[in-house]
Amino acid sequence: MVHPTKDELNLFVGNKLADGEPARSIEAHIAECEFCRQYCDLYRQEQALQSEADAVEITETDRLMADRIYNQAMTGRVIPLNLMSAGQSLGQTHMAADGSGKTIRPTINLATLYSEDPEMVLRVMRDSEQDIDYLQLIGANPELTAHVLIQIPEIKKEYLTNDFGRAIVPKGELDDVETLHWEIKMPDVRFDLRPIVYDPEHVESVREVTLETDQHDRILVTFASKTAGKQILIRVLELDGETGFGSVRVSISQQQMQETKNVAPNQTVPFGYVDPDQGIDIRLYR
Amino acid sequence: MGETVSAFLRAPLNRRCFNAFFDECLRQTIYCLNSLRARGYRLPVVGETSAASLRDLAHGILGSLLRTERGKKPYHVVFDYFGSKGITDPRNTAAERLGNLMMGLLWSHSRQEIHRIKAQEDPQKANLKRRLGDLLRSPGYRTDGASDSPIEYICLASNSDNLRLDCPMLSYEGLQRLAENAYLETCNLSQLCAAIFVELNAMIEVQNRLRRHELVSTIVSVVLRYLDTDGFQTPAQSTPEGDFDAGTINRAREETIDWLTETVIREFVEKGRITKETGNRLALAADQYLIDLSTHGNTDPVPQYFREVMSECEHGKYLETYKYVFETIISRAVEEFRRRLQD
Repeated sequence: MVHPTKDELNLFVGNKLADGEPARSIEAHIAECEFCRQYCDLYRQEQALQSEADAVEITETDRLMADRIYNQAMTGRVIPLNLMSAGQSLGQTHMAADGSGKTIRPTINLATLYSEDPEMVLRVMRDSEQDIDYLQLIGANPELTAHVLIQIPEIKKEYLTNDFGRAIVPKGELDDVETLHWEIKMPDVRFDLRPIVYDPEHVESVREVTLETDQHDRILVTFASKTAGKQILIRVLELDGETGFGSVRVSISQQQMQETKNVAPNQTVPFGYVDPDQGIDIRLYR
Repeated sequence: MGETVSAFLRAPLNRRCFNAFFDECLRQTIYCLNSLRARGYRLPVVGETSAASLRDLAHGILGSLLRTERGKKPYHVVFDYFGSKGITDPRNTAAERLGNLMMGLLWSHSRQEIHRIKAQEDPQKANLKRRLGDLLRSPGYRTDGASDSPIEYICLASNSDNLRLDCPMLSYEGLQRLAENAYLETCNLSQLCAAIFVELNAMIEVQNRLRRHELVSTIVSVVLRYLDTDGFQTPAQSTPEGDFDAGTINRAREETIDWLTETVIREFVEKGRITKETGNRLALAADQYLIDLSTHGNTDPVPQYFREVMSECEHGKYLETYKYVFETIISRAVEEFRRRLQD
């Protein structure tokens, strides 16, 4: 008595053995051998379950779960950027009225930087018409580009992006952009207030709510009444369950409006101009 | 699976690579859960056929497996696992191997999570043990034991008047080899058991009887290994014991049980927490636990070992009377066993 190998039994179950002696001898063996019969039954069952699983459709709920896991992995990450190109012109506008063929360049790309993992591109732009410099971060997911810090540690500069991945740079602050080392710092803590939370027109007295993450980060959100100025106040109570956390950078934003401040424990950050129909994003950076 | 895992390991923060990896992991976890259910596990889902609940359970398992704790590198459970397999640069490893390793991780993590959520014995193993128990109680076999020891011995009934009691017992690794060979030549449990004893009887330098718990453990381990359909289900987690040969492991196990009886169990007996007889039974249970740990790493929930050696009337007293004592015995046994292996 010699049992067929598992490979032979697998081929037999999948009807992949050539007709003839091998298939017949395995069939005869299985009729007699309880061990191999049981193995074949199990293998047949496994194959059916595997086919069933391969056909599973990925749903919206699955994608939300993947988002949660991915965002957790990105939390607090520092992503170094590499220089892709410097000093390219992005667009040229030919002014017909000038007749002479005079060209102005309203937007200049001062430098393009990138990261491969995750895939992101940062463009350092100069808008001559509006007379501003700005940074435009582009990525596969808004979570990667909105409300993140773009840092240049060697000159101690950092810029916070808005909902659209854009950060304004005060004119004249950036020289020789291609020689600097750029990096992106993802938020360490995220809180999202949804619109139903606060309507300043209807708050008659101060209300407070404490928000907490799984990692024991806690903030106190104070909803001021209409007479107190239609604002919310954020106070960081704990980070990692610690009240003595030194200092932390707090960013609060709603659509185009953004407030950012470095705070110590017990300091508050006010945020005004609250639109009751829009969510408020609160991010902490250590 | 392999190419997806390889791409993910090379660029774990790349969203496209992560999404493809997550989708594949989700499908394989659902497969794994369905497979465990088909093998008799009771899954902690609402309604045994609810696909949505099964998916929720798969989300829970992946949430734990793919988690990133603060201050650690992304997906550290996955990367630590591949690191422990010697894979630091996935470009140097074939995609197929990476896929197989990932499947192994998904299986073992799913099993662990289910055990954690709802401690239960492996149904396949329980079924085999039950059938073996019935077989060994049949007229062809005889069970003996000493009044001062819970260890039971099994021999062929036809040999019961002809036992070589002056000879040493067959070692556990010798028994494992015997069972492996017997498996290859037999077609069912009954034949397998009989073949082991026929061969044992011919080995005149050792006793022609076996310790019951060692025989059951060996047969269960051999049969389950051959029933494994794709290499992922039965060999659970890699264990520190995997690096040692069977002889070293068995010596360390025997020395550990002697040490346990003389120290930890003796102290409990002297303090009046358990009787001497119960102490002997718990030593036997600890021995069984170490055998499972060192043979395949796939141990049952701790109370299961208690139930196997104690009479039924004591089972209900486990939480109140024995839990602390027995868990202490098991944890000290594992600690000492590993210490002895390292020495």
